[in-house]
Amino acid sequence: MLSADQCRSLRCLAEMMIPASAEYGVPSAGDDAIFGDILKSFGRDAGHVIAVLQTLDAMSSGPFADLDPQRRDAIARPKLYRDTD
Amino acid sequence: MRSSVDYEGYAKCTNLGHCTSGCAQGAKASTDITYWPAAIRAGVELRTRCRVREITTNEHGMTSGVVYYEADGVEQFQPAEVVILACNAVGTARILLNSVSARFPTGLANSSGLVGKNLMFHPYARIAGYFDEMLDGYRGPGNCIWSQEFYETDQSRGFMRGYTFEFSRGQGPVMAAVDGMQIGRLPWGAEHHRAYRKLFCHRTGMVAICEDLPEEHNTVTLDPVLKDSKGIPAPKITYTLSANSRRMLDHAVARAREILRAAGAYDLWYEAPIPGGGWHLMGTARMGTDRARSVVNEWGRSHDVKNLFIVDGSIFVTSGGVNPTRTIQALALYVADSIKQPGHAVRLR
Repeated sequence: MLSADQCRSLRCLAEMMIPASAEYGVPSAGDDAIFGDILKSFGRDAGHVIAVLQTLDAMSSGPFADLDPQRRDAIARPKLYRDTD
Repeated sequence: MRSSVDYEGYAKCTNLGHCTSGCAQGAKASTDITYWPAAIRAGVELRTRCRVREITTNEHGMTSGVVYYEADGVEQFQPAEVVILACNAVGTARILLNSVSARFPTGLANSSGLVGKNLMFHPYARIAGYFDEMLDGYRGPGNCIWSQEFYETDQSRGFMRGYTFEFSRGQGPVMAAVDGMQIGRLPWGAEHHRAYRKLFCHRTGMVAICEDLPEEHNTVTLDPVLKDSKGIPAPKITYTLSANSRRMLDHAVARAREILRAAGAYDLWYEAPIPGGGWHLMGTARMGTDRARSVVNEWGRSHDVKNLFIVDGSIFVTSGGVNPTRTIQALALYVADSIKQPGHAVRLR
């Protein structure tokens, strides 16, 4: 359903959203088992997921996954992060 | 509702705790477990994914059936001796207003002009706080305690009627994550894990279900332009939160904050009204004995059309400050009994 590039970009995005934590001893959402489950289960939301990935690719002038972490963060942060507390 | 023992087709509750999302244990007394199996055993044929366009009438001004579309779009006509509407305050009003004819030019059952008027929701206030100790949010039904201390009218409060507090234990892991994200308390990124641990099993509170009052300017009408995929005119909803409901919400938030503080909560949060509210739909075909001021009589039967009945939230004259489903079910049973009583309801032939 996703292209190989889209798959890589989605994994990068998942890792940004829920990164691994040594403090709490948990893996990131890009962990093989977790990400595999995400790919298997987003079914009905596929259209929305692909639209987001296409937007990120367009903002990146290429695959979002190919950017360095700082650039990925600069592009995705305004769309992901909300003020808390 | 749930059972502590296996009971007539539904299982004993094992406190899975995701009642609002459906019960994998089969312990929730939802209608797919309670009424529908019994009805089907009694001979009812359930046709799903059908969409009614209009109710038809005959030369005597009685309903003769319904025109509907099957899931694949094929138009069908179902003749009927009695038509019973159960589509709630938006769907019922929409069908009635779409059922126009020379005899009923403003819609079926609408001689009062009240079909679609007096739409009521339940304005909800939601208040929550954090607790240091672990809570058992994921065990058992989420809403576990009610208070109606502020349910009846007390003029000193500055509003008519009142509200029910529904207290919750908290949320299970998935709901805590989804809700935390929606309310802006669960960031993505490095802070996610810390924030989640602060939320899960440490955050709880209550909702206040406020009794909305009937106002004729709150309406369901037919949209002049928008139609659904079958070409049926779509409902258009016009609703303004009343000053009475606004004052009720403010009162509920103030009392809830006092309660939570007294219980030891901190970092209190609220929204009032909740932005996603409005799922309880009531009032657009109100019940009454005066045919000039109501759509159905005390038996749920249309004043205008003798073999047309309504058994949903549209017949409510006020919303009550509680979840409406059990009242709707009680009214449906009551109206069904009335239909069966000779002399009370309708001569079927």
